[in-house]
Amino acid sequence: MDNILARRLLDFTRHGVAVAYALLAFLVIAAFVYDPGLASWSWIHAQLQITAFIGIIAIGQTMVILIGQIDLSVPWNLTFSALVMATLSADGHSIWLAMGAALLCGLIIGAINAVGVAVFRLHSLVWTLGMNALLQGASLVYTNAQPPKSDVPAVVREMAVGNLFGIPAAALIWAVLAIFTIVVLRRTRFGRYLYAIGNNETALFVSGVDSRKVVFGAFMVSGFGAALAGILLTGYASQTYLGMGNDYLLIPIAAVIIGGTNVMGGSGGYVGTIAGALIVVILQSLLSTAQIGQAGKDVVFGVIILALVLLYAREARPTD
Amino acid sequence: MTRDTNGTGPLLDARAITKSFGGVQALNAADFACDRGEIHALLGANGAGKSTLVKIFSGVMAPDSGTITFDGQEVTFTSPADAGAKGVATVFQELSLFAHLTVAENIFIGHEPLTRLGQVSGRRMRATARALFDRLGIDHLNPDALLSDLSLADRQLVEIFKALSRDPRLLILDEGTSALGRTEVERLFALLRKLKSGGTSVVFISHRMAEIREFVDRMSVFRNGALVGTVAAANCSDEEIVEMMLGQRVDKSFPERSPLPAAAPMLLEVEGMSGGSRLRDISLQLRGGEVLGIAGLEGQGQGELLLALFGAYRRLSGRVMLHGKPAKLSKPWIAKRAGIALIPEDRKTEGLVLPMSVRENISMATLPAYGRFGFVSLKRERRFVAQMIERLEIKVGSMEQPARALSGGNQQKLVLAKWLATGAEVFLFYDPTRGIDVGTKRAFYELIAGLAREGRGVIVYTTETSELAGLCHRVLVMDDGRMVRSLEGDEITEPKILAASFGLGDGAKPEKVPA
Repeated sequence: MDNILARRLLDFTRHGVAVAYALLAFLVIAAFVYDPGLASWSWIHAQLQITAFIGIIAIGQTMVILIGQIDLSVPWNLTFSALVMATLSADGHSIWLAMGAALLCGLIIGAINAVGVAVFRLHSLVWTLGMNALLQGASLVYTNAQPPKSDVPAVVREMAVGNLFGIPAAALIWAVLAIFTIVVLRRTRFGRYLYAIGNNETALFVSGVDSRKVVFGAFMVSGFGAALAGILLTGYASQTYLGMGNDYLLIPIAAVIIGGTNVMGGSGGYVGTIAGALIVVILQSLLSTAQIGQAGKDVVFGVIILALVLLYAREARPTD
Repeated sequence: MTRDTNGTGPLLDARAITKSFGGVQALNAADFACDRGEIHALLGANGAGKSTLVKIFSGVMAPDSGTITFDGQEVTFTSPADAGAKGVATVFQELSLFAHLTVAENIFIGHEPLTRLGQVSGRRMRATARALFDRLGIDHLNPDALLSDLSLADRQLVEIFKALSRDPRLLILDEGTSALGRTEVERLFALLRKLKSGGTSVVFISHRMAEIREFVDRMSVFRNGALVGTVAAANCSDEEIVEMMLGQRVDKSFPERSPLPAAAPMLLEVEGMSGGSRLRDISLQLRGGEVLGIAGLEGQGQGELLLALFGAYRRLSGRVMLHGKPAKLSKPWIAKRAGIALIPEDRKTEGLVLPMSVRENISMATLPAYGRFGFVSLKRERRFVAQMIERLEIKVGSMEQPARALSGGNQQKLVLAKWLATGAEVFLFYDPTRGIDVGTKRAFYELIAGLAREGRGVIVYTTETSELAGLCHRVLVMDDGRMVRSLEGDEITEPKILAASFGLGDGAKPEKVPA
């Protein structure tokens, strides 16, 4: 009896997505039990508002991690793109043009990341780290280290902190993109090829598929997501500032990993990442409510990530 | 360099060595004995069990059963280090040297002479290396030279000296001459004879039998994992050796070869294709309905040729014509669009994505066909995959099973299914039946013959000579990146193919071209 139960439990833990959602449910219940005052729409609203930014960045990061790579250029891609929008807008260009330019910026940065990985065959860990440093420098030069003093256009503010039917607009944008992402991963060639590359790029190449295009796609989605998050965060903070992307490197990556996507690529998906993103945000909130300082939060995060990676690693271990 | 020995009799005496991998019996009660102070060649066709035997002697793997007596005592070699400590040193086919270290550093890696303070003594290392060279009459190697500056032949010498630096009783050379030209082979054997006169025994594995037989004392021939016989090299003819390697024919029952109509259209023409050091001036022609075999010893450029035709090889020169029109096969997806399919060498790493499902693997090369705008219609995909599973009689529990869970034969069928779906005209097979069971092998023969009957062209490289003889309309023999012989019609027999591959008989020994 015990044996069967133990085995069921063990089998269950092999499914990263299931573990992530179980953990999420546990956290929510724990939060409500710990402080019944939290069980309100306003608390949920606040969580969704924050999670949306992380979730949007985690879309591209999920794809990039699925192909066995990583995008470390997100923080300064986000900042740089936001700066481009803010300065164009301050110069009197229309906000749509400014936003378009920012998103284009993100796409181009993503494409340059992909050039390093797909064409020069360098590992993204090094290449995108270099890209991040380069963009940091470029941002400082571009702004003379003085971020543009501009009013954030109403459209941007609405997108970031507005509401539609009482739901944060940013969360709605995230929801639409999330559904789109899940469909892409499950129902399109591009999605199929992402998994194939993460598992065995050689086999895809020998199947006569140009895997480089797929790598470009993944990194460009990540670049686009970073730029979009930069726009939304500008609206959220009512300003662009240097270093605004600093908190958005490791947290989205943690969300992807907690959501059960294999860090080495090849398995996982965005459904898990959604739970992962909510977990990191709710955990932060819970720890804050419990008045645990930043050091304590970091310890709890570290422990959770290590525990989950150990749990998931059993599955990834080759059996033959 | 004479030594004390424990008793008399052979230095190494292996009895009834058995070893199997999965279902494949690599060695079946194999015996082998090597005397003290002799140079002994190990011969056999591909897959005869020579390499497995050597791996057992060098401690790389343990036998399933059998006994090994070394210098009068029964031993087990638990690891290469253990075998080394007991006096067996092995030089493997793949060189295991460090390009950025010097010759002396490479030779003494792992047992560097030390100073009294425990530091590596470069001075003593150089001196010992030089003494070793002097003793064996090698005067052109500089112990301080960087390995990366050496020719391939000299690197092989360094590898041998590395083995000799531990002063072994038995030196095993696997494919020792594959990188050497004629004069270098002579120099190597001069060295080996010096070793021999010092009491060291040498076991030598080479496919280039014609080159080495004058240098060795005895030869042992293996076939199907067992010893056929040991003969003195001096009194045995080429024909006898080929016969020993081939033995009694097992009837594999190949499908009837469809006659090739005289008007069969030309599918693929290759002229003067060269690339790197592995492909030299290759020309070939393939007609619709023809099965063209590529023969030769392993690693003579056959794999590179197939990859080159599939566009997976860069920097090629020469001309390729498809259907009479010039074609540039520069990338696999271009070759795929041109109607070329490759069943690659290693189904596990190149043919399949093992963790993904049977369905996803079969549809991997043809996904655009199952939907529009980048979408994949699962319904259409499943219908198609089900057809393929039925057509090739692939044994699967469900199409959602991971490819990993299938047997080798069924995995290979998945790879073929993937390519049948593309409607390719030219099929390239790289050793399609390696490691799969007899029943599935026969199914593959039928499939290959079937492709030809449909008017498609097939190029097959296989290490099983019987398959070439049973399936092909024409057989091309490769040696050192070149086509050295073409066999047609009645010439396609196993002895002729084997003889041509080994450069024996028929006066067909290829001219070695200086590199």
